[in-house]
Amino acid sequence: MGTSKKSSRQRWFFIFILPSLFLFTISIIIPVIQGFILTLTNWDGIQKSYDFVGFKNYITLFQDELFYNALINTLKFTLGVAIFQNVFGLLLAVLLNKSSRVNNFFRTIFFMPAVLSVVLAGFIWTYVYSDGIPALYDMLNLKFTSSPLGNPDMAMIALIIIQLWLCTGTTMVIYIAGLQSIPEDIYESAKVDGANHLQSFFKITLPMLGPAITINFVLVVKQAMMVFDLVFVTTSGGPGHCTDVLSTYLWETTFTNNQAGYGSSMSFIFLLILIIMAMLQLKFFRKREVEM
Amino acid sequence: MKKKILVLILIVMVMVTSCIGCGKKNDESVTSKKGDTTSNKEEQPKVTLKMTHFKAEATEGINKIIEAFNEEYPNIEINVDLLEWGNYDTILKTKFASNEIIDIICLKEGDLLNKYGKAGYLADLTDKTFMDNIQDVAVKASATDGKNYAVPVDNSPIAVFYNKKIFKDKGFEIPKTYSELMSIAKQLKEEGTAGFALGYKDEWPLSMFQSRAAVDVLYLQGQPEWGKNYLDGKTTFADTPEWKTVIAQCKDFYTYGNDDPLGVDYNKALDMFAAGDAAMIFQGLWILPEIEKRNPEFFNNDLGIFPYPATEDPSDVKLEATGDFVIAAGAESTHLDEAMKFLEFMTTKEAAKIWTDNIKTISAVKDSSLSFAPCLADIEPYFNNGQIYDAQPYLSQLSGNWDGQITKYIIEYLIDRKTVDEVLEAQDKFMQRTLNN
Repeated sequence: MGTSKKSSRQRWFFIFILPSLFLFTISIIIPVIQGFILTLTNWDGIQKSYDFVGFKNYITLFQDELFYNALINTLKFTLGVAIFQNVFGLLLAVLLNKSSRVNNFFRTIFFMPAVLSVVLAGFIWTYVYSDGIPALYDMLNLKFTSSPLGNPDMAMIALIIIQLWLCTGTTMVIYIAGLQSIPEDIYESAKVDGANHLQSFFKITLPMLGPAITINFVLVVKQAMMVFDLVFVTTSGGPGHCTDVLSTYLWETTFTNNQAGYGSSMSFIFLLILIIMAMLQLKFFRKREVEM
Repeated sequence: MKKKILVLILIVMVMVTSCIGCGKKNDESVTSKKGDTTSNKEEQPKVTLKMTHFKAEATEGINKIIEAFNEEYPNIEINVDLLEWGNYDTILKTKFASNEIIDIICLKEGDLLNKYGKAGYLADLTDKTFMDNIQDVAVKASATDGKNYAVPVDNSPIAVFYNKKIFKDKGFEIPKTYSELMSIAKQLKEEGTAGFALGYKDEWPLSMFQSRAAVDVLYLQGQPEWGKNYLDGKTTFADTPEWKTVIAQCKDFYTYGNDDPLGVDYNKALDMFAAGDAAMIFQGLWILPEIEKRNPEFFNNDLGIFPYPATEDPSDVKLEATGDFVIAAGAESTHLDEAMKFLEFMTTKEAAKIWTDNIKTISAVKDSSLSFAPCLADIEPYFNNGQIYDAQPYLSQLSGNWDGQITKYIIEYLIDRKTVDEVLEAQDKFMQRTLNN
């Protein structure tokens, strides 16, 4: 009697999973396999036929200086965004933690860019940089030399600023949720013991925010590594290759240069990089969480 | 138990519904008529053709041509899909890859046309009689490996447009050598007006310039098969000093052009030129409607054109009149006859006149008029004296994105990130990677 009930429940579990498993297989597993087969060919994306070339694409990839350029740019972008988005997000969360009308108003304002389409934001900021800020400088009688998006040294910074503007709101919201889950009495007992604000922040708040920090870093890093529409719409990797990131270089290789097979191999290596980064991050942050 | 079954049914329904939503609808482009069992009857069955194009400024003109076409063929309806040029290639590729049938496809002469022609997506037009209505130069220049896969519609001279008023005020003559052009630009820049309007934030104006300069100083100066030689391994970018000349010319334009050329895009550059903040711009005839929109007085009175003098020899100066917009029929179209009828209509003088009146580029149809813009009087003599050349046979010797890539490297040189030698080396390396694929 007992075993048949258990196996019948297991059967039901399996049946319930079936639809999702089916969707997962046809929309993710099968395309990934097809994509991997593509990486072994020299398909150009248009011709109806192609040849198999083995692992030549991967060998070419490791000698491609533009790939490394894109990788470094992506890492630069990710580093800048990851650090500043979390710092600003946490700062804003701490400032706007208490629920008050003023705080709620500011929380909304800071979160609003997150609901904008990235393409729209890119267009708006292009004009802010090229027309808006110069006009502002003009009013203050200062000379604004050039749009940072056309300036090779400033372009990446300009892009990081746009990304921060877009996404800090989301980080802030997650941190606020984390802050509100910390019980008040811990702070009170710390005050009784003579801790000041800074000490209670570093010894109580930060450790107890462990899970929120983990989630935020993983999400922010993933989003920054995969950035495409922002770069594409504002600079398309330019000027020259200064702001080329992995996804824009991938796009250029596959579609503009007509190298679909080569581009596929690049996307697989990209996938590998993302997986490794996610695993490393989770390991690092989870370890810190447990310690707290 | 009942609840579990109910939930299971709901899940399956959701799954099925989402699958339906993901499906592609292909029947917009296929025939829609009813009752066509006997198509040999006199009454013409209604046919719907699907057409894609990318030239936003031509939308109105194309609609007018279709209206005129429908007066002769009222049963053939054409649905026009305007796609953005920047993504046109990608979108076409996606459509073809998913076996979507497009009956009439508009393309640009050159690499775009060649690759789809070679891949077999376009109907072969080489032996069609209506191709005789098109200028011979255009028919020959737009052929892919000897076969014609599209009807040339216009050709767009690419030259230096200039502000006649500024030239008159400063006492400049039309330059016939490169150094004359540069001394004009230098003086203008020193006196506060930009010599050239450069919209290099969009990379294509620079790409267009360097490729035309290359044709002028390399292909036309004794190496007409340079591209073919490159593919045969007989030469490289780094070994060809004429490329250094091309890059040096890019640098001169950069120096005497407007401030912040990499931050100014194509539209802003047109604004500057139309407003008189820049005296010259290296572009094609497609800017005419844009200039007219921005400053009609300038367009009618002070806009002039002269061919780009790339060398020191005045007799080298010829107008580049390269085929631009072409129109093709999809090889897999289920209504090939009707599509061909439209292509034939595009070669008539009637269609040519509608085109030139509305879109203001020079029609490739034989004996069509040049009087649709005052500045064209400047270049009419070049057409009449045969001092024109089509750059396409030279530009399409190297396929793929070689010009987009070298443009990026040239930009890196202009911002002092690479030396000229590094640019050419990097370009050779890039070509190795893409050609060996």
